[in-house]
Amino acid sequence: MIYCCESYLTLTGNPYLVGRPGGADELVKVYDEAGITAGMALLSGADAVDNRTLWEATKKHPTRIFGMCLVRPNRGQAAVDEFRMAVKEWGFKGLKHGVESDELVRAAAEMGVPVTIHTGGESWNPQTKTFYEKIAQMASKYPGLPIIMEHMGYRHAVDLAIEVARRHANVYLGTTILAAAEPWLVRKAVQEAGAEKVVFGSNAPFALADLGVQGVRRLKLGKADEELVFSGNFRRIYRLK
Amino acid sequence: MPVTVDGDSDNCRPAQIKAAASRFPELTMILDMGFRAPVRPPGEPAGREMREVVGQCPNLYLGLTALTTCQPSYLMSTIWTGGAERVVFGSNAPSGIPAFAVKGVEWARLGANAEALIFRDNLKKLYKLG
Repeated sequence: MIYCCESYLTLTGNPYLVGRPGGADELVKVYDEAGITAGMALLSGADAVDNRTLWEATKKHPTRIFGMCLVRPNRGQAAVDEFRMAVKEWGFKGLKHGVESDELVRAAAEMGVPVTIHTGGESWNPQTKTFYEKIAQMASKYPGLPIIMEHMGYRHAVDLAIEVARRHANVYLGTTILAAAEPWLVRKAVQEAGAEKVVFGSNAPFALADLGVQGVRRLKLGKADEELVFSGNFRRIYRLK
Repeated sequence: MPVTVDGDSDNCRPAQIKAAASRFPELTMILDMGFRAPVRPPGEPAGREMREVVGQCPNLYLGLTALTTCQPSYLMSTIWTGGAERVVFGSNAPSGIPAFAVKGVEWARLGANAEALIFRDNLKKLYKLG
């Protein structure tokens, strides 16, 4: 089994998709092409849609597409309320967020919903260092909250991301993008942070999901570690039965 | 001799690229797209800015290195920005896997002529290969 910690629900007309249609069925087709059992999905910023659209996709493919809520933190309490509703009433399993809103993170911690944070930046940039320090502080403040660092700092802050994951038991490294682009970094993460801290992600359909899967397989991590990266960690983090 | 610059940097914005390419108009410059390519689809202001820079700097080419293996969806934006005549293939090997990079280009189904330019002809011209 292969689970994906980040993918996108897109709609028809997205200029990035080279003529392929958007929609839930297409995302499932992409999963099938890559051998992905199921994945966390969020809305694409390229489409003017809301979480309800994603909810409808999860209803259509409840065993394949899991909802990851995306709200604008500057909406304040309304954003928190929408997130809580999406989890409790629509069954969303995750939150895509940054480090802006402690209220959203606190709500995620209270509901036991993992938070996914986009990470990148340049390790030599003071602002980047500050950003990773905020993630570390978040991890310390909410030790029971799983935090997935999407892209694990790729391309220029991978060491910073790995260090945060090493220091905090509740911080994980998402391989999204780099599993296809530079798979050796996945091996580095496994070696330095441990296979139990690395989670496969595809970024489908904007990235080629099957290349991500092949990229991890080419590493020949061994059956146990590969199982953790592809499915074991995901199932534990998202409490799948 | 062509110069390749890494476009995957906060210090490589369209205005800066334009300044460098304009200062040395006789120099062929390949802007490697990297992971965070400075190209966007039609309709986005940032995309138009980069397209204008490429239009104003005929010595500027766009390298696909790393892009097709991580974000092949950006490929169409790169083509829109410069046309296949200004795009060159790259693999990022050995960090990147060349077969993946090739597949990323083929995924876009650009057609034989465009693929020939990107995979072969443009680089042969720039590096004066026989």
